[in-house]
Amino acid sequence: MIEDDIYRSSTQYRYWSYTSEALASLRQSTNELASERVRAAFGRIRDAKKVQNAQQSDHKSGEGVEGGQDPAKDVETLTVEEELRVVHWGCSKIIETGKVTTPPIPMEIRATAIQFLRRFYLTNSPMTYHPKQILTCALFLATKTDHWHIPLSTFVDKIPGTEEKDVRAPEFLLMQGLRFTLDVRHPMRGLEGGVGEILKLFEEKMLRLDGPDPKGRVGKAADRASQFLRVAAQMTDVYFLYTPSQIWLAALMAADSDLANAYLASKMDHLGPAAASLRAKLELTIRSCADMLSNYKSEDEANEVEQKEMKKEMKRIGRKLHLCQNPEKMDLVAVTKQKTAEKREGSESDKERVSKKRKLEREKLERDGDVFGPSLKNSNA
Amino acid sequence: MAVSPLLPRSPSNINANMSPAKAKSLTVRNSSSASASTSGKPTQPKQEFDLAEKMNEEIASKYVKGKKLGEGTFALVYRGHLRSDPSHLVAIKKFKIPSQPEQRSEGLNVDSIREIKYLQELSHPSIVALLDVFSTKDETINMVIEYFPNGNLEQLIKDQSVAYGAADVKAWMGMLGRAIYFCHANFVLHRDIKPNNLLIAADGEVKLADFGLARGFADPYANMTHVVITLWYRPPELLFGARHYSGAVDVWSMGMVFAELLLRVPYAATMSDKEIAQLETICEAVGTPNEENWPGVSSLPNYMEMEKQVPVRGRDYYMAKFPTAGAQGVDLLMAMLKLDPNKRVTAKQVLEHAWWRVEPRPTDRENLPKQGGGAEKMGEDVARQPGVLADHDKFQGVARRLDFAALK
Ligand SMILES: Nc1ncnc2c1ncn2[C@@H]1O[C@H](COP(=O)(O)OP(=O)(O)OP(=O)(O)O)[C@@H](O)[C@H]1O
Ligand SMILES: [Mg+2]
Repeated sequence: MIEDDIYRSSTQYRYWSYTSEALASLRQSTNELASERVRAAFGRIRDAKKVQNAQQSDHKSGEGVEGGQDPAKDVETLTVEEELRVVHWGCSKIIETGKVTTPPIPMEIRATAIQFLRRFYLTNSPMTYHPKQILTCALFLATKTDHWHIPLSTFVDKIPGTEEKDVRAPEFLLMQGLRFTLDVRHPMRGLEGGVGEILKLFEEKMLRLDGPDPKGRVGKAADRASQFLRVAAQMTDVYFLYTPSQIWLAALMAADSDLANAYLASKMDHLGPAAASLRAKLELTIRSCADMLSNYKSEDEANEVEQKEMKKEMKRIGRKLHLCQNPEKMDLVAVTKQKTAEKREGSESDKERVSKKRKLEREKLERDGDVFGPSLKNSNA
Repeated sequence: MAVSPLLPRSPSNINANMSPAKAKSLTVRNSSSASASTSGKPTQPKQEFDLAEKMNEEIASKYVKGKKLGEGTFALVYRGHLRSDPSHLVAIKKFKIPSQPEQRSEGLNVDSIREIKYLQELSHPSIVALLDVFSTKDETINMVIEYFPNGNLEQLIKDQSVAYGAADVKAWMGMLGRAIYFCHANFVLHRDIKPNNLLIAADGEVKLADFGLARGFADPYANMTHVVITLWYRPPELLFGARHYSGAVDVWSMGMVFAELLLRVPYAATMSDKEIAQLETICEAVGTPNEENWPGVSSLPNYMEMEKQVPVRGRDYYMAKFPTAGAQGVDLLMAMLKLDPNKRVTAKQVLEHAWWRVEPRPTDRENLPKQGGGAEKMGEDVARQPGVLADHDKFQGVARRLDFAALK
């Protein structure tokens, strides 16, 4: 009833399902690797500067972009938790960005994009690629994989500060990070089916519901559950840890646990005592998923003090990320160009142009100050 | 029934899987080069790999690319083999990308994206197997698929030197039917079924290929395009512009393939690229759609009253046209070619049809005829003329008895 062979053959199950331990360990590895690479990149900048300084007269020394100290030694890298906060910021940006097109991009497609982003950041760090570089690409890719046609020019039209090339440049990198698997199985449709089934079971008197307005109760629970799926399920790890049917059942349980239990009972009671341990195990799994969903608190739901705290924390992480962002991957358009150029020609002038552009971008970013760009402020307002 | 999520299962394909242990080992390998640079030795960025790049590298290095096999709209296809086993042949399909990134205005082409998306999900003996996907440094995507040395069903149907009979048709239809049923059970519409997209594997199995037009059919939002499926195999609801449709579109195409296998010429071929011309051909071959045989047809977006008025073809017509199919075969064919998609059989009903239980039994895979005469059975050279299909039952009977004898 809950699982089936079709789901087991999906790439979501084969490549993107983890135990929580495995998930944590994978993120740890990714973080360690990225941190070392960031230090190495700053080290190269330092080395290059040393050479440069040695060539130029000594009165100029210590005046570089990075200041006088050894940038490689001092760079403080993000922790796994901080990285996750940055990825979550990217996820909520996807939800917002999907609203700006006319008509808005359907929620399920935004959810696909969010899962793309989350999968990408299992093997990539925000220190290497900032989510703001990846998220519009993830959203556009999702419109293509999920058959919601929108021309790229129309798409970028509504997104301030984004050009077509910014959306195209990371596509390949993203696909590679997704290991060329592009199918995301969502729990939303399962919930719709489940709610329909509950109403049918109720009409057939196979499922008992107390209260004055049982049908209204089902409707209310369905709405709440669907809200859980649209936000909490996207902002937590549930897709990595549970199957789509477990997730929608959990959302229903988080919305109305008696209702969810009654439904489970109606589905499993006839299996008899033999299935008792199976049922207990299933309930435990769904309960833990439901806890994850109901423990998630979005900024909108938080009280004023909490909101302030969240913003302060985001600012702190943002500043820290700004200082440890891998300088060599800042401009993806240039990086892509450089890669193809390396392959084709490897001409020096190309490389020089690219590094010059990279430097410009970096300086621009430093002037802007806010690593997350101006739109985050809007979203917080 | 798994109630707790498991570690990614060990893959049945040969894709390297991403376990944390693997991630660790890759990290270690990489960190040594990274720390080398911090300790003074300048390292070129080129030598560093992301985890994803490293995994990609491992997949890419499993294969050796050989000579070019052919070229399609979106891809160049090369022969290749496993580095570890040169006798294990594969085909490497390399998606074309215009030389300037700016030229790819929409990014990676959607047909390629969908082909990758669906083939990654669908693993079935009658669907081409996607063995791996990797990227090359010039930022192109390569799909590694099984190698098909024996061409496709279209070539085989046209090749007058190949003789085949009713039992062979039944075997091929069984493969096609199972492939389509599997797609539909996975909520995928293929939307381009035709003999050209049915490839013949080295072991004789016919496999469904080319998923560039596929899509999921459970998507509740947005209309679907009606401009899919090669014209001769396109069902009347699409020709009338339906924007909501189901697996019935693939079943119609399958019916057309069935008819073509029997006739050895396309059953509803139109010498024009106009949808109206195709509709007229269907009127002639199957019957004229109207409110009586298809309630609701007149409210489809591009519906038009057809000039050609032909009553829906009856059993006698089909029996005369397709004598080798037998009564049950004709019954199945008529069920697949119902004008009204709601009355058409589903892929599941196709597989449950009585035709599979009557004589002749489908030919065993290894005895199926191939191009080039390699596996041709003795005595089976009767049906060489297009449009003429000999009754092979007596030869099949002999062949089966011989097979049984060989087994015992
Ligand atoms: N797996 C394979 N094994 C052997 N040859 C193949 C294989 N796949 C493709 N080919 C050869 O490469 C050619 C191009 O294949 P491809 O699938 O890219 O395009 P197509 O289907 O022929 O055309 P289109 O892209 O217009 O649909 C084929 O015509 C065939 O000759
Ligand atoms: Mg093709």
